[in-house]
Amino acid sequence: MSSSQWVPITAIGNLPLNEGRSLLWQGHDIALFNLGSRVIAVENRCPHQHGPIVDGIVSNVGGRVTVTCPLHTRRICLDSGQIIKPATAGPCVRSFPAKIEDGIVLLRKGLSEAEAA
Amino acid sequence: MKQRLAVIGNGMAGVFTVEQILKHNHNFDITIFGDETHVNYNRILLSSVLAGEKEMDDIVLNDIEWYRANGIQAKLGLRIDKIDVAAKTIHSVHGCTTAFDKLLIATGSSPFLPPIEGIDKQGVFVFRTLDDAKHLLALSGPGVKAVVIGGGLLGLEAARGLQLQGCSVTVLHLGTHLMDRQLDFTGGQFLKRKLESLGIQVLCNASTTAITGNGHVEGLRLANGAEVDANLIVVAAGIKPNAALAKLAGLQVNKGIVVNEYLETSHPDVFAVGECTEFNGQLFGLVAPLWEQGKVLAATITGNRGPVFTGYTPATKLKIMGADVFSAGDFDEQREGVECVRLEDPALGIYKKLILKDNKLEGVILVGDASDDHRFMDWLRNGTDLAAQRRQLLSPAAAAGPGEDAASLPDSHTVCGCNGVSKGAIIEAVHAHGVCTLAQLKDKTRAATGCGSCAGLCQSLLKAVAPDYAEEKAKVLCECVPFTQDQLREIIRSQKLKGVQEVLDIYGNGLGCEVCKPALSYLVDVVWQGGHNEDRSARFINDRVHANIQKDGTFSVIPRMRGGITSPAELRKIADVAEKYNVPLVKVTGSQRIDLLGVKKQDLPKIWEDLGMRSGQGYTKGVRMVKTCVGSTFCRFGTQDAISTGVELERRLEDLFTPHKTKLAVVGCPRNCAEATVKDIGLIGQEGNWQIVVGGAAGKGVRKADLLITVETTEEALEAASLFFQYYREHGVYLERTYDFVERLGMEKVRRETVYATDAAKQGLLDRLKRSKDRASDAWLERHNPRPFQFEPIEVAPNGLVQIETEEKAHV
Repeated sequence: MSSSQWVPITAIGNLPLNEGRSLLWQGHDIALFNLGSRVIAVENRCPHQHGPIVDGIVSNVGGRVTVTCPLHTRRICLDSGQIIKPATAGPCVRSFPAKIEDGIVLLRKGLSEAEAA
Repeated sequence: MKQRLAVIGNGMAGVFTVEQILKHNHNFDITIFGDETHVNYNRILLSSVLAGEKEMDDIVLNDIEWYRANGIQAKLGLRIDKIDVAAKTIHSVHGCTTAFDKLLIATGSSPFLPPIEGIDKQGVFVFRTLDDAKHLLALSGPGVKAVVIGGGLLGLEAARGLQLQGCSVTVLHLGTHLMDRQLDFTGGQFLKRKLESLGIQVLCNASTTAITGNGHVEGLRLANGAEVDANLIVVAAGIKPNAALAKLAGLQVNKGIVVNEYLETSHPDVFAVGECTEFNGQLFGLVAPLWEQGKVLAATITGNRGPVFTGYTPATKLKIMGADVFSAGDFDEQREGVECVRLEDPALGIYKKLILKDNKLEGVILVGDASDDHRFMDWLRNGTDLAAQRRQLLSPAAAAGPGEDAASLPDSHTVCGCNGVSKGAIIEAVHAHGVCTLAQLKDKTRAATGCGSCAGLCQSLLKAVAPDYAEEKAKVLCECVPFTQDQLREIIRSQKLKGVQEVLDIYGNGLGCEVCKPALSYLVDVVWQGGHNEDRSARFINDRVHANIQKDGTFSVIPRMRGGITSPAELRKIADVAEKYNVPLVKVTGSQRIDLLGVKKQDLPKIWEDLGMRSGQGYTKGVRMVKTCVGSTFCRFGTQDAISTGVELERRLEDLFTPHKTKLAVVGCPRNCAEATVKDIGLIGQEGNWQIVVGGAAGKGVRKADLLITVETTEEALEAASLFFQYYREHGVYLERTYDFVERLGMEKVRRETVYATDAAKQGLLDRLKRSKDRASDAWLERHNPRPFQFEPIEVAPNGLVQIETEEKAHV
């Protein structure tokens, strides 16, 4: 994978610490979270009832970083994408590769489903 | 010389009986044998352990210290395999022999394993003991396909627990409907829909013929040929009494160990209690009758033979959040001479059925709403004549309040159904033993130590009757920052912490969660009177965008309309905005304001600008509105100027945060057209004076506000309201409404510390209110200086937003 596929999105300074911001990206409604040392990009759609998780409060559940959906307080692990409180089997929130370089948030473009998995 | 009492069985029935024996003047050396290695725990709560609601330690009933303190020898992990009643000895599988003078058998019951091919495969479990719960917890999780065989009480609770652990769960039930021993067909159907809406699959008429898999379970085959995948199976197909030991010893045994009304077996020195017994052909699988048995047996065995066990009215409660079920008595409506009163509401998922005979309740089924079960249980137990209540059988008048509700109960009323503790027993514990906290009450009577659903009622009773009633030690805010809110206020003040993150870093886990962050945001704001460091990441979305999030992610906009007063020009602006932004719904609220619903987040600042009105704080824990009547301005009956007083009150308090939302009203006469008596703060104008009332509610419960003070002038009325308002801000627990606040503190204290406080104290409250007010501003002014991308999504504009010289640009 060449670095040329990483697309600059915005300056990290535009994302307040421990908050989400929304972004339309290749047809997806994305929630970008600035966790200080890293950014996480996930689909902005709670698997429970499709709440906008971008508007959630970033939380801690048993040492894992989660976001709490504002509609029904489902807690979603930002690393696994799974609803972990209440623990729920079923679909995960889809995540997208994201990183910070030189103070700029980058997302990877043109990713196939296989690569995403 | 002491007598030796041996107890076989260290479960709830056996140990409860021993507890009752200890209350008598007894002369026993007691030894308890348990084949589980655990001390006595609450078996009823195993489903809560599986559901992750309780830890294993939480359900211990008697810790090892209890055995020591009472001089009881506990032999745990030791299975008794023989009783020699002639020699008066019992023998363990390890070859130990113990002699006894009296023997108590409390061996309980075992899960019934139906004769299904392959039931011995790995991955098939029962759910009976703490160790079973541990195994299931270890094996359950996302991706696991769990099947529960048996749709009875235990099976359904196990199913819900497994599902909460992340398993996908199917319940296979042999009968035509779920819980078929406790519910009729319709009730079972309602319950099935409830469970399916929770995500549990339910198959009725499902007879399992084989469990398949090579060594480890892979699936099940049903009689109709269908196959179900599974890698974990829980069998909950009923229980059978553990009576083999007694039978071998030559005691009289049918299905269970036969006992008489004194709990005596066929041998004069051998007694039995609990699920291993059979009385009048009746077997036992629920906890309530076991307590009765235990009390009777304790009397019998200590030489106080007299009380008798008379059987019981079966009553069952399913402990699944969102799928309440209660069933008691005989609900067969085909019997001669019975009448059936029924309510079905499929949309709400509520089904209620009462069976009456000669105006007396004989059976009851509640599905979806079991909140008034204790009323029905009382009617059933006491054989109450219901002729006079026929019109309100299913729709009782709302209770006047928790205290009054508890006070009106008869002494015989069973408060704790799990442990059979009556209201009379609680009152006795208070008067005879000086009990004044819930913890002491639990200790003394065991009330509220079962499923815990009666804890609220116990609190109300204590509050009503205990002279030294002490509130339970306040709860810590959250495990992220484990201090009470009072402690946190003190920490924030004394350590000069002005931001949520500082508190979390120094006193918490550094990250926090959606429970503690908004609470801490409130606390730093009120302690520093608005001079704190605002941290929006710690605020709920409503307080980031100053609008109320709706189920579809859109927002609602409610402009402030002080006192409900508007103008043609203002209405015209609202109408223009609604059209310009295609607002899907415009609604007049219950608070005399106008709500624009379905607004997109990115339109919010533009709408505020176009409206040019202030935020109505309809989205936050803050000052909502002051509702007014027309008052003396136009009304023929008005005695005071409600409108201008209400507008002024709203102006003085608006833009401030409170522990929970605060609704106010001002009325110009006692006709109360703006409902001031059910508001958090109400001003009631009368000829020549104002009454200030606080702590009213007209929500889930209705509470008439308490009188704070009566004053002569409007300015005094506004000041009294302000004093209470600031006092509530400084002493209320976050998310505590005024109606809980005044009940918790008591009106005497509230009056003493507000309107009847010293002048200096009153001035302090007013000064701090003023400082907060001076720093507060209309939240919608943030439109002039919005935070980056708070409202608009980030636009990926390759040549715009991000100026970086890299080769990537060419590929964007």
